[in-house]
Amino acid sequence: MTAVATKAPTPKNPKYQQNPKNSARDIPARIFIWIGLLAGAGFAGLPVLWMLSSSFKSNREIFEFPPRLLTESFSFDAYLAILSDPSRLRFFINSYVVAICVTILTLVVAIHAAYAFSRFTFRMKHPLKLLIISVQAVPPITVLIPYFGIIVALKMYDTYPGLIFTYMLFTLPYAIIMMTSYMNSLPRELDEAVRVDGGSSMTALWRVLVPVSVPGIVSVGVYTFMIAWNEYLFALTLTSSESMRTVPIGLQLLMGQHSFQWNEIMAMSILGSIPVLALFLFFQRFFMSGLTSGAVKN
Amino acid sequence: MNARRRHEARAAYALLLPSFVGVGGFLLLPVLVVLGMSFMEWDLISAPEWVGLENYAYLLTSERFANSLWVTAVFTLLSIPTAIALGLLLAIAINRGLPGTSWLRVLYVLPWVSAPLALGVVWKWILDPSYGVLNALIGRRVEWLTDPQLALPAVVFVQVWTTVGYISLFFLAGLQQIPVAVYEAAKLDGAAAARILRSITLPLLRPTMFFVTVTSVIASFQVFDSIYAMTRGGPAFRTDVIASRIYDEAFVNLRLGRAAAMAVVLFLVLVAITLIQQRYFRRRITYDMS
Repeated sequence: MTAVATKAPTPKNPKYQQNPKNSARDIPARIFIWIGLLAGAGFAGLPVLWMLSSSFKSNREIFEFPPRLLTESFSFDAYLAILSDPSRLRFFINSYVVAICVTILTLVVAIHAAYAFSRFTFRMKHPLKLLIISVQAVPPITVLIPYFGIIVALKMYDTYPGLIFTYMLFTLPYAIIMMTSYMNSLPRELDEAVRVDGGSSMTALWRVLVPVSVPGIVSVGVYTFMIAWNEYLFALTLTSSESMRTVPIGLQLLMGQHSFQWNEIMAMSILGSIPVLALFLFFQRFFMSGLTSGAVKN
Repeated sequence: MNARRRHEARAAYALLLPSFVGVGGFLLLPVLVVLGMSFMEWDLISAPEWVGLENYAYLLTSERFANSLWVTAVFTLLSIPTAIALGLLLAIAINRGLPGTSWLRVLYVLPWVSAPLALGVVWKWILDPSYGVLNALIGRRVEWLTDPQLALPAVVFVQVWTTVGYISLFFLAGLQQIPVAVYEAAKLDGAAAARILRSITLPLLRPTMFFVTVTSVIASFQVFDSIYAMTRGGPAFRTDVIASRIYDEAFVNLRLGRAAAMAVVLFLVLVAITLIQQRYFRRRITYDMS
């Protein structure tokens, strides 16, 4: 089934698109690729569309046979059921608080660190950079158990700060690496001019460097928000009361309590995917180039 | 000059301080703590007790732990090459810039930007033997997630589905870095398409390939959310990946020492894999484009 996207023949190279002489001979191949891409996109998007359409179904229609992709009785009941229930709304509030705090704090800390790595010379630069890179490779699951101990010891178990600090440590190393490589790509003359003119390095950073780094900052921010919003394992381990649970855990709880109300479960899944999806669509261009910029160079 | 440099260094350390307080306190310390805890027995209720190498001795003989390592390895070996091959093909196809295909990228990345847990949930429903839409479509009852033979392939399939579009983004970015001139030269020399792919596209994508492989393998060894939502490690531990084993051992069986020892082993495995991959990719030639 995964082969749907591969049905397209191996294309030769991107140069062809610039060579009109080849286009006549190329037409069957191009149609083939086009169909392959379209089928692949349908395959990638269908389960998500299924989630969307099911969330608008009534519970009766959910179990109708054969299942329909487009609903007949378009209803907002499932959404109303979730949005009118304070305990479920609470999951969303928690997720927003945690994800927004993590994003802002990560960005502020990472921007300073990236500035140091990108624009200053100091003896420990290389070792510290290496430390950040290797720390980024620490798999979160391996520190789950000590985290539990540390968070309990710091009396942050089942609190916002507990989750926020925890998530920042997964997002920070990556954010520093991304921001550093972004700032490295900007000409040094930009901020050096400010410092030569007697401005402080903080002025150079916030007045000059940060405004031109907006694309990089946005893509790091979106990525950070996404990690914090979607995180499940640590949220499950570091919170216990229902009023502290985030959306992914709430979804899991909903599955357990109302395992046959698929329309509500799907509505909650949609509501739980919307923030990241909206950010992604809105900042798509920034995000995609920022995300991949570190990967294509040696 | 010397004073200026010292001043500069001091400013740099000040800028870096918050990062390293965080990294030191919340990442390096926990790594040491997990190592310490792996020599202890702790059930969350009574005080931790030193047991030496007992936890590791247990892991050596534990079939359940060997099983999770095996399941994780199979999961990785099945999902990553498939996802990378499909992602590369997809990127090459999109890179041809056919009309109306650029917006398709958004659809391809949709699974990756949706909440993993939500995806696990929707797939659980799609694959449900009685109420699932897949069985309704094929007209027979298949126990996708509860048949011991099918459960692992099913979760691999969902993983590939989730990651292909994301992986293709990286390859697409890599492809767009390759100068058209290189292709033109090869074309003039009469190189065939397969040859161009093998001798130009793939070697020049090496940094991207390295990045994608390393990050995918590391992520794959930690996979948890979607699998836990779909199968909870079942049936008969056939999808009991290492992350769900660690979680269950710690917070269901309340054996935190054992779970810590598992985490240490996983950590070492990941370090080893990363080093091996690094060597493999270094040894190969890259085309110097300067």
